[in-house]
Amino acid sequence: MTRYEVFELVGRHVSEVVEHDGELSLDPGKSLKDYGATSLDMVEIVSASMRELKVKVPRSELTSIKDIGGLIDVLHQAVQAKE
Amino acid sequence: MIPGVDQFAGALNASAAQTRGIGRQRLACLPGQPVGDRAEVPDLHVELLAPALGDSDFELQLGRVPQSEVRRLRSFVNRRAASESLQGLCLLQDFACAWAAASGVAAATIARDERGKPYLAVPERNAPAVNLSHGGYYLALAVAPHGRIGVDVEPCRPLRPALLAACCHPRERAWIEREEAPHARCMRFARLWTLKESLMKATGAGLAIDPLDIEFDLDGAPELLRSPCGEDWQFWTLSLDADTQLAICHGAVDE
Repeated sequence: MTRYEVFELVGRHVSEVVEHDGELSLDPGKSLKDYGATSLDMVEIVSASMRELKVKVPRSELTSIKDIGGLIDVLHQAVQAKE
Repeated sequence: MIPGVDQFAGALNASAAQTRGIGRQRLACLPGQPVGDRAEVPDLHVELLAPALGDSDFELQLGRVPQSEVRRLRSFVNRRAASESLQGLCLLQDFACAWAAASGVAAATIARDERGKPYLAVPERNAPAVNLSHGGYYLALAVAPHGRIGVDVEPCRPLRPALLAACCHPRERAWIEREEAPHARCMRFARLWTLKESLMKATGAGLAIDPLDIEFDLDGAPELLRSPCGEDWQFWTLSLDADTQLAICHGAVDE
């Protein structure tokens, strides 16, 4: 699975969880909070993404993430490690 | 079981709010005194959120908050989220001004700790502990003279398997699933989550704490069974309406 495919998958979960008008276009340099995600939204987005990717990322890695690009990176690395 | 965990359920109490308020229309407060003999009851301000502010109102209100907050608010993509966050900061700013005037200090300013949790900075004096939350139609500010405080507001939301697995122990999940009606299940989840997040916010660690490391027994009044951040916490829960839960966590230990 490519990094772009992980990005699309995360974007789908963000779109399902966070309220937004029209089509949601994710900027990897922004945080989930910038898109209006609450703490519970973030838990849901990350857990749903990990579940669909069939990976588990340690919380210590997740808490250091600053933006959506960082989340894509750790999820993609977990996918590659699994493959 | 950890002793001293108290729980209140209260109806909206506008009249009590007006007598203790800060010049704004407050919708709810924590009624009565806590069960037990050791707690101070945190002060709670709940207001209705205004709809997303228009451009001119947004810019006007931005002038009331510190420049560091202006930069943060301008980075939001979601205008409604920025508007709600700004309203929370304005509520906190109003409280800070009222508290400073009543306390005889020159100023209390909004600052953030290294994890981004807002607090009141007051030179040469201890400031009250504060915490903000917004969710659904509501904005909440919880205040305690000492210690640590966290508040969370959560509207009812659809329960997806990944969310339940990430947030709930089997025992907590069983408690939620004992309700047959879908809406009642969602409200049970909201009650559980607000308790967990109020604790995570009170500690200042937020999501650095795994929600699964916190466990409540909710068959009666909420009892904190397990937590990675000590045991000396007290909790209050409140139903703001049929679809929205609020919880407050207060710890006696100063940060």
